[in-house]
Amino acid sequence: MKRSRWLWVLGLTQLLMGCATVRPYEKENLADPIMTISSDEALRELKWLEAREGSTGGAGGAGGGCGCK
Amino acid sequence: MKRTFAIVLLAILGAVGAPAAGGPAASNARETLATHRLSLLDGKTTTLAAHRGDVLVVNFWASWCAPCRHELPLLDQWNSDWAGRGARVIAISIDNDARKAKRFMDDMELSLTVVHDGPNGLARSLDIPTVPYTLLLDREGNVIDTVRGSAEAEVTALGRKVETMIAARGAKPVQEAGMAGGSR
Repeated sequence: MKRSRWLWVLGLTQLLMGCATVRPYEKENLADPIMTISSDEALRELKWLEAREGSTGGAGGAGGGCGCK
Repeated sequence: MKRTFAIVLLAILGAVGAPAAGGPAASNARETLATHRLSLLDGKTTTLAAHRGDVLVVNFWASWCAPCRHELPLLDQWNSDWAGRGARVIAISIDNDARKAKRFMDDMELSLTVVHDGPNGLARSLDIPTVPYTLLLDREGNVIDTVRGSAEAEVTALGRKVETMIAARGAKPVQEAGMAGGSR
Protein backbone atom coordinates (compact mmCIF):
# COMPACT_ATOMS: atom_id res chain seq x y z
CA MET A 1 0.00 0.00 0.00
CA LYS A 2 2.73 2.41 1.03
CA ARG A 3 4.83 1.54 -1.97
CA SER A 4 1.99 2.18 -4.39
CA ARG A 5 1.35 5.50 -2.77
CA TRP A 6 4.96 6.58 -3.32
CA LEU A 7 4.80 5.32 -6.87
CA TRP A 8 1.81 7.60 -7.40
CA VAL A 9 3.83 10.56 -6.13
CA LEU A 10 6.72 9.63 -8.39
CA GLY A 11 4.41 9.33 -11.39
CA LEU A 12 2.71 12.61 -10.62
CA THR A 13 6.06 14.33 -10.27
CA GLN A 14 7.18 12.97 -13.62
CA LEU A 15 4.00 14.27 -15.22
CA LEU A 16 4.32 17.71 -13.69
CA MET A 17 7.96 17.99 -14.68
CA GLY A 18 6.70 18.34 -18.24
CA CYS A 19 4.85 21.56 -17.40
CA ALA A 20 6.47 24.88 -18.19
CA THR A 21 5.42 28.47 -17.95
CA VAL A 22 5.64 30.10 -21.37
CA ARG A 23 6.06 33.84 -21.19
CA PRO A 24 4.15 35.97 -23.73
CA TYR A 25 7.33 36.89 -25.63
CA GLU A 26 8.26 33.21 -26.05
CA LYS A 27 5.15 32.27 -28.01
CA GLU A 28 6.39 32.72 -31.56
CA ASN A 29 6.50 29.00 -32.26
CA LEU A 30 3.20 28.40 -30.48
CA ALA A 31 1.63 31.13 -32.63
CA ASP A 32 2.73 29.37 -35.81
CA PRO A 33 -0.31 28.43 -37.95
CA ILE A 34 0.90 24.82 -37.94
CA MET A 35 0.03 24.69 -34.24
CA THR A 36 -3.68 25.26 -34.82
CA ILE A 37 -5.88 22.20 -34.73
CA SER A 38 -7.68 23.27 -37.88
CA SER A 39 -4.56 24.17 -39.84
CA ASP A 40 -4.38 23.21 -43.47
CA GLU A 41 -3.72 19.49 -43.90
CA ALA A 42 -1.43 20.09 -46.87
CA LEU A 43 0.68 22.44 -44.74
CA ARG A 44 0.86 19.85 -41.98
CA GLU A 45 1.91 17.19 -44.46
CA LEU A 46 4.60 19.46 -45.89
CA LYS A 47 5.88 20.12 -42.38
CA TRP A 48 6.39 16.47 -41.50
CA LEU A 49 7.75 15.74 -44.96
CA GLU A 50 10.37 18.45 -44.49
CA ALA A 51 11.21 17.08 -41.05
CA ARG A 52 11.51 13.52 -42.39
CA GLU A 53 13.59 14.45 -45.42
CA GLY A 54 15.74 16.98 -43.60
CA SER A 55 15.08 19.65 -46.18
CA THR A 56 13.05 22.82 -46.19
CA GLY A 57 11.46 24.63 -49.09
CA GLY A 58 11.50 23.60 -52.69
CA ALA A 59 8.05 22.05 -52.40
CA GLY A 60 7.10 20.73 -55.81
CA GLY A 61 10.64 21.00 -57.10
CA ALA A 62 13.90 19.16 -56.74
CA GLY A 63 15.60 18.64 -53.40
CA GLY A 64 16.17 15.66 -51.28
CA GLY A 65 17.78 16.13 -47.91
CA CYS A 66 21.37 16.14 -49.11
CA GLY A 67 21.70 19.81 -48.23
CA CYS A 68 22.23 20.78 -51.86
CA LYS A 69 19.89 23.08 -53.75
CA MET B 1 3.71 8.50 8.08
CA LYS B 2 0.61 9.94 6.45
CA ARG B 3 1.74 13.34 7.54
CA THR B 4 5.19 12.87 6.00
CA PHE B 5 3.56 11.71 2.80
CA ALA B 6 1.31 14.78 2.69
CA ILE B 7 4.22 17.14 3.32
CA VAL B 8 6.35 15.55 0.61
CA LEU B 9 3.44 15.68 -1.85
CA LEU B 10 2.74 19.34 -1.11
CA ALA B 11 6.42 20.23 -1.40
CA ILE B 12 6.66 18.55 -4.81
CA LEU B 13 3.49 20.21 -6.06
CA GLY B 14 4.67 23.57 -4.79
CA ALA B 15 8.11 23.26 -6.31
CA VAL B 16 6.96 22.04 -9.69
CA GLY B 17 3.78 24.04 -10.06
CA ALA B 18 4.98 27.42 -8.88
CA PRO B 19 5.27 29.84 -11.80
CA ALA B 20 8.55 31.64 -12.19
CA ALA B 21 8.61 35.02 -10.56
CA GLY B 22 8.59 37.71 -13.23
CA GLY B 23 10.54 40.82 -13.95
CA PRO B 24 13.38 42.76 -12.48
CA ALA B 25 12.91 45.32 -9.77
CA ALA B 26 11.19 48.46 -11.03
CA SER B 27 14.21 50.54 -10.10
CA ASN B 28 16.29 48.66 -12.67
CA ALA B 29 13.73 49.05 -15.45
CA ARG B 30 14.56 52.68 -16.19
CA GLU B 31 18.27 51.98 -16.53
CA THR B 32 17.69 48.82 -18.57
CA LEU B 33 15.35 50.65 -20.93
CA ALA B 34 17.76 53.54 -21.37
CA THR B 35 20.95 51.63 -22.05
CA HIS B 36 19.89 48.46 -23.87
CA ARG B 37 21.19 48.48 -27.44
CA LEU B 38 18.48 48.02 -30.06
CA SER B 39 19.07 47.11 -33.70
CA LEU B 40 17.48 49.28 -36.33
CA LEU B 41 16.26 47.44 -39.40
CA ASP B 42 19.02 49.04 -41.51
CA GLY B 43 21.68 47.39 -39.35
CA LYS B 44 22.59 50.38 -37.17
CA THR B 45 22.00 50.37 -33.42
CA THR B 46 20.40 52.83 -31.05
CA THR B 47 19.24 53.17 -27.47
CA LEU B 48 16.13 54.72 -26.00
CA ALA B 49 18.40 57.14 -24.15
CA ALA B 50 19.32 58.60 -27.54
CA HIS B 51 15.75 59.88 -27.79
CA ARG B 52 15.72 61.47 -24.36
CA GLY B 53 14.07 64.85 -24.51
CA ASP B 54 11.13 63.43 -26.43
CA VAL B 55 8.07 61.79 -24.98
CA LEU B 56 8.34 58.17 -26.09
CA VAL B 57 5.68 55.58 -26.69
CA VAL B 58 7.54 52.26 -26.70
CA ASN B 59 5.56 49.39 -28.15
CA PHE B 60 6.63 45.75 -27.94
CA TRP B 61 5.18 43.83 -30.87
CA ALA B 62 5.69 40.79 -33.07
CA SER B 63 4.64 39.94 -36.60
CA TRP B 64 3.02 36.73 -35.26
CA CYS B 65 0.81 38.71 -32.86
CA ALA B 66 -2.57 39.58 -34.39
CA PRO B 67 -3.48 42.38 -31.93
CA CYS B 68 -0.08 43.98 -32.62
CA ARG B 69 -0.75 43.97 -36.36
CA HIS B 70 -4.09 45.61 -35.68
CA GLU B 71 -2.60 48.25 -33.39
CA LEU B 72 0.52 49.30 -35.29
CA PRO B 73 -1.21 51.41 -38.00
CA LEU B 74 -2.68 53.60 -35.22
CA LEU B 75 0.74 53.98 -33.60
CA ASP B 76 2.18 54.83 -37.01
CA GLN B 77 -0.48 57.51 -37.42
CA TRP B 78 0.38 58.93 -33.99
CA ASN B 79 4.05 59.00 -34.89
CA SER B 80 3.28 61.02 -38.02
CA ASP B 81 1.00 63.39 -36.10
CA TRP B 82 3.61 63.99 -33.42
CA ALA B 83 6.57 64.50 -35.76
CA GLY B 84 8.47 67.63 -34.77
CA ARG B 85 6.30 68.13 -31.68
CA GLY B 86 8.50 66.36 -29.15
CA ALA B 87 6.93 62.92 -29.11
CA ARG B 88 7.50 59.75 -31.07
CA VAL B 89 6.66 56.07 -31.20
CA ILE B 90 9.33 53.38 -31.15
CA ALA B 91 8.17 49.88 -32.03
CA ILE B 92 10.35 47.07 -30.68
CA SER B 93 9.97 43.83 -32.61
CA ILE B 94 10.39 40.67 -30.56
CA ASP B 95 10.33 38.37 -33.59
CA ASN B 96 13.09 35.80 -33.65
CA ASP B 97 14.01 36.92 -37.15
CA ALA B 98 14.42 40.61 -38.01
CA ARG B 99 13.45 39.86 -41.61
CA LYS B 100 9.90 39.06 -40.48
CA ALA B 101 9.63 42.50 -38.88
CA LYS B 102 11.08 44.15 -41.98
CA ARG B 103 8.70 42.28 -44.27
CA PHE B 104 5.73 43.25 -42.15
CA MET B 105 6.72 46.92 -42.07
CA ASP B 106 7.19 46.96 -45.83
CA ASP B 107 3.88 45.22 -46.46
CA MET B 108 2.01 47.63 -44.20
CA GLU B 109 3.97 50.65 -45.46
CA LEU B 110 4.57 51.89 -41.92
CA SER B 111 7.01 54.70 -41.31
CA LEU B 112 7.52 54.71 -37.54
CA THR B 113 10.87 53.82 -36.03
CA VAL B 114 11.12 50.05 -35.74
CA VAL B 115 13.91 48.27 -33.91
CA HIS B 116 14.48 44.56 -33.66
CA ASP B 117 15.39 43.08 -30.31
CA GLY B 118 14.15 39.50 -30.38
CA PRO B 119 12.42 37.66 -27.54
CA ASN B 120 15.51 37.50 -25.35
CA GLY B 121 16.36 41.18 -25.17
CA LEU B 122 14.43 43.90 -23.42
CA ALA B 123 11.26 41.81 -23.45
CA ARG B 124 12.93 39.22 -21.25
CA SER B 125 14.85 41.73 -19.15
CA LEU B 126 11.60 43.51 -18.32
CA ASP B 127 9.61 40.27 -18.37
CA ILE B 128 6.81 41.97 -20.27
CA PRO B 129 3.44 40.56 -19.19
CA THR B 130 1.67 40.69 -22.57
CA VAL B 131 2.29 41.14 -26.27
CA PRO B 132 1.65 43.84 -27.32
CA TYR B 133 2.89 45.86 -24.37
CA THR B 134 3.18 49.61 -24.52
CA LEU B 135 5.14 51.95 -22.27
CA LEU B 136 4.90 55.70 -22.03
CA LEU B 137 8.20 57.35 -21.15
CA ASP B 138 8.47 60.99 -20.18
CA ARG B 139 11.22 63.25 -21.47
CA GLU B 140 13.60 62.04 -18.79
CA GLY B 141 13.07 58.37 -19.57
CA ASN B 142 10.79 57.55 -16.64
CA VAL B 143 8.04 55.02 -17.28
CA ILE B 144 4.86 56.89 -16.42
CA ASP B 145 2.24 54.61 -17.91
CA THR B 146 1.85 51.15 -19.40
CA VAL B 147 -0.80 49.43 -21.48
CA ARG B 148 -1.13 45.65 -21.36
CA GLY B 149 -2.52 44.29 -24.59
CA SER B 150 -4.31 46.36 -27.17
CA ALA B 151 -7.58 47.37 -25.51
CA GLU B 152 -8.76 50.29 -27.62
CA ALA B 153 -9.87 52.46 -24.70
CA GLU B 154 -6.53 52.15 -22.93
CA VAL B 155 -4.49 52.75 -26.07
CA THR B 156 -6.57 55.80 -26.94
CA ALA B 157 -6.18 57.12 -23.39
CA LEU B 158 -2.41 56.74 -23.75
CA GLY B 159 -2.51 58.80 -26.95
CA ARG B 160 -4.50 61.52 -25.19
CA LYS B 161 -1.98 61.56 -22.38
CA VAL B 162 0.84 62.16 -24.86
CA GLU B 163 -1.16 64.97 -26.48
CA THR B 164 -1.55 66.53 -23.04
CA MET B 165 2.18 66.28 -22.42
CA ILE B 166 2.93 67.86 -25.79
CA ALA B 167 0.46 70.66 -25.11
CA ALA B 168 1.86 71.25 -21.62
CA ARG B 169 5.35 71.57 -22.99
CA GLY B 170 4.14 73.95 -25.69
CA ALA B 171 2.54 76.13 -23.04
CA LYS B 172 5.80 76.46 -21.10
CA PRO B 173 8.51 77.22 -23.68
CA VAL B 174 10.62 79.07 -21.07
CA GLN B 175 11.13 75.88 -19.07
CA GLU B 176 12.33 73.83 -22.01
CA ALA B 177 16.02 74.45 -21.42
CA GLY B 178 17.74 71.65 -19.56
CA MET B 179 15.02 69.06 -20.22
CA ALA B 180 13.86 69.50 -16.64
CA GLY B 181 10.45 70.80 -17.56
CA GLY B 182 8.94 67.45 -18.56
CA SER B 183 5.33 67.46 -17.50
CA ARG B 184 3.43 64.43 -16.35
